[in-house]
Amino acid sequence: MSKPCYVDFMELFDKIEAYHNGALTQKEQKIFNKELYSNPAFAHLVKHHKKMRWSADGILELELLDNVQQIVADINSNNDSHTQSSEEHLHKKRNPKYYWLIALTLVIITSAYWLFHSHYKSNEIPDATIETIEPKPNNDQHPKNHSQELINPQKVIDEKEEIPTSIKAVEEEPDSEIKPDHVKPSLSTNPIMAQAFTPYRHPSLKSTTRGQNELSMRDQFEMAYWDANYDQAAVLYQKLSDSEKNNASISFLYGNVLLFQKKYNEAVIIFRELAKNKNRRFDQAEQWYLALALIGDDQRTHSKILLNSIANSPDHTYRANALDLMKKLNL
Amino acid sequence: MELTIEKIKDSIRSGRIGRDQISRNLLSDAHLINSIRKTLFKLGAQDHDIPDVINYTIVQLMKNVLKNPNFHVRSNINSYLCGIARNIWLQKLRARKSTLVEMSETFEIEDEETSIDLIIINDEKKSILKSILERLGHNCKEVLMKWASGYRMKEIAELTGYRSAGVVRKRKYTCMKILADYFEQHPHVKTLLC
Repeated sequence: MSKPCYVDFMELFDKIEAYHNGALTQKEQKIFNKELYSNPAFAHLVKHHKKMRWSADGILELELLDNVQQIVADINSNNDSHTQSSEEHLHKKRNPKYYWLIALTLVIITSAYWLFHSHYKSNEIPDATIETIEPKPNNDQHPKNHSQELINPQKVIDEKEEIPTSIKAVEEEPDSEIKPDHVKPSLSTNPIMAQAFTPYRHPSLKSTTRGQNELSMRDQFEMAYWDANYDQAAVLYQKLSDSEKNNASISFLYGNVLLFQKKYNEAVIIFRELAKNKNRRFDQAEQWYLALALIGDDQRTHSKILLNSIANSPDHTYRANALDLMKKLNL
Repeated sequence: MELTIEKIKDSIRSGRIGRDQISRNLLSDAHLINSIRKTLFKLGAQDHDIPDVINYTIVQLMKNVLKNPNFHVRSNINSYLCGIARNIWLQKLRARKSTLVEMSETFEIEDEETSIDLIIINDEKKSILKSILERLGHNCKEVLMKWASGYRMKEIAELTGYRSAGVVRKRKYTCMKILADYFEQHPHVKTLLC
């Protein structure tokens, strides 16, 4: 048999794979075997075919693996840079300058808010606003119904316990046109409320121990109150014993302190507690200040009932005040 | 980007850019990576074993797509890749002659779809391949890679820019001859391969 030409040899080479895969026909197998045993160069290729195939596979795999590993490295380096930037951020956070910057920002924001709030309050036109939102009630056209306006039933029960019998009839009366509370301006921020409130002062409250060396905590509290140091009085009140705190006079003054500090809800609680006592030294004053505290606490209905009660009592010390306030607040 | 089997096939066959894109997407898929990790942990793998298996899993996917024109996945791609990862890990265990024979027997499920034909190139084999590649040069590498990927001569000619399938066949023959000569000259290599 003559040695195959170059092209034939390559064709035979292609047959190597088919030979290894068992895909040769019987005739092809005969030719292949003949060539294998007679041609050392061809035998050499056949001999190493498995390794060559492996190498080709290996080269492909190596290439693919290199690419994948490169991508993994890329992803990891991206993650590292992300972690690094997080660490830089953390480092930045640890820098005292960072905290100074935060503090400065907070101061600016707080100041801006305070300025805006002050500006808003000073520009408020209470009468016009209230009249616009809440028209003056017309008893002929709009029957009153207080019960529809009540929000917290528990509060109503509490209130009913304290409302004098004389004003319960008012509560039963039909109300003027009811509008939801949320559309009404808050009474607590109303400047009329601030004008109406003057801390209670009576000569009997003036401490007689002034100038003495050792003053009791109660004396200090009363002195602070008399001197109109209400914030100091609030601090001193906390230092009083429980029995002193339960004293009606002290509680009454403290209620005034709370009103001054615009802690209306706490003031309401104090004055309600006082209303439970049978022997009330500041009976009428307590009613007046409770009414103010209720207005401050946005308990519109309850404050209105109480003010009505005061206004309808001809001998009440605060009758004129109540009438004036009701008029101004359109209650 | 949601990866469908068709998208994966097209991208892998489109060339290196497409393959890299798919690799990047799969390797960045936290859900997939977690699934593979869980599969491998169940088979006794440790943290340090995971990255290597994941890399080979992606390589095997590439090889399967390249070699099989009718590549098809019955389940979803995540389950498929978890199956491949499991088989790679079991092969590695066998290679280590691990004592975890029972585990292999328990967990090895015959599944043609996820069967692997990886060489799992260790450093020694890698150095052999690199020395072979130095002899072959770039053109041979390209032709042999495409051939190993199952492309026909005509397709390789189109992909690599050779004039015809005949030229590719001739190039392949030359490359194979170089390889055969290399093995003849380095008989010790034979024992290291396959």
